Amino acid sequence: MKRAFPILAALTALLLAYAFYEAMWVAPMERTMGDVQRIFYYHVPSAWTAFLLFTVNLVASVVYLIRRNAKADAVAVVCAEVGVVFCTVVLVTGPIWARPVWGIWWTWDVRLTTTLVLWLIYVSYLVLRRFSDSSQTPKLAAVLAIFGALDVPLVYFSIWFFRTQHPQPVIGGGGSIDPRMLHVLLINWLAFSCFAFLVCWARYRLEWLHREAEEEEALASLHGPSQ
Amino acid sequence: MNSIKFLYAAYIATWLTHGFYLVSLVSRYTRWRQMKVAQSSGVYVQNHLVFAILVTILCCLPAGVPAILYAAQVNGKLQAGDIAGARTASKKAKMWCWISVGASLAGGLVYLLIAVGVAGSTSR
Repeated sequence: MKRAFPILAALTALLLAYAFYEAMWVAPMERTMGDVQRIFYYHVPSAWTAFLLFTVNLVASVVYLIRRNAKADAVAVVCAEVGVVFCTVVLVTGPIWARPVWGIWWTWDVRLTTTLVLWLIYVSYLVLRRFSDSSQTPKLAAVLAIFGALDVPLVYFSIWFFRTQHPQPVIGGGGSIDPRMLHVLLINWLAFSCFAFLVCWARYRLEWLHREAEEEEALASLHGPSQ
Repeated sequence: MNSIKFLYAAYIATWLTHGFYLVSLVSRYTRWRQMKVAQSSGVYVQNHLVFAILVTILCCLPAGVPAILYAAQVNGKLQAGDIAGARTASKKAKMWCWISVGASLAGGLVYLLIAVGVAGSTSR
């Protein structure tokens, strides 16, 4: 497993470089927006990856609530944390795209607002995990994660069911996309998903190291006074 | 339309966000390692590894590399029981970090002076 990580990291770096090349130079230029449309190739994959991570967080939280499995709890924390990073990328790159295209950085439309709410819910989840010492924290966090995951379909389908300023879906929902653009989009999603998997792997390992250290410390403090 | 600037800005913002998160992971791992080393040796010596990584990325790369090299030696020397060596490596790592910061500030100042000079000469 220790050997697999650097190999996978090298492969992911190559895939990310290839995806960047495809997004910048191979994908055809969009007629009305020009080059700025290429932000799409890392804005959308980042959003999909964040949704995927929040979904894994939901599943892990449900498993934790049913079985009280510590590994499921660790997976939930890791996915929430990495998901928040990807959601931050979405919230940062979106306004950078909006400024030249819409003429404004931000508007309170349904897609943007629900995405911001999603980010805030998972930041609250992480704050709860970080600053609460109670033994009930994993249970409370799991419930909050289920509540937060309800926002994921709301974000995803908001542009299907509401009239929003945000562009309409390009895949499904009556949208269409040039096959070459779709190809580049999927390569970028694959690259970002591999990157997310690697980061989650490293973070999961770190989570276990910290939990083991905390257990050791707790045991030492229990045995300490008797010595 | 200078939309290409927005494209690059979004790309840089994406990797800065991921970069900061990765640095935070390295920082947490370093803290854990230092805690383990301190538990086993009973001595705590700061390794400045995160500071070294940050100055290498954000300030001056040539001065950042020796900072990382010295910072990486600290825990190994502590584990080997070489406390004096660990302290020396820690001091050198810190010194190279500050050299990197100073070099980048000096470079920025020189660039600013040249830019102001060029702007002044073209406006005349």
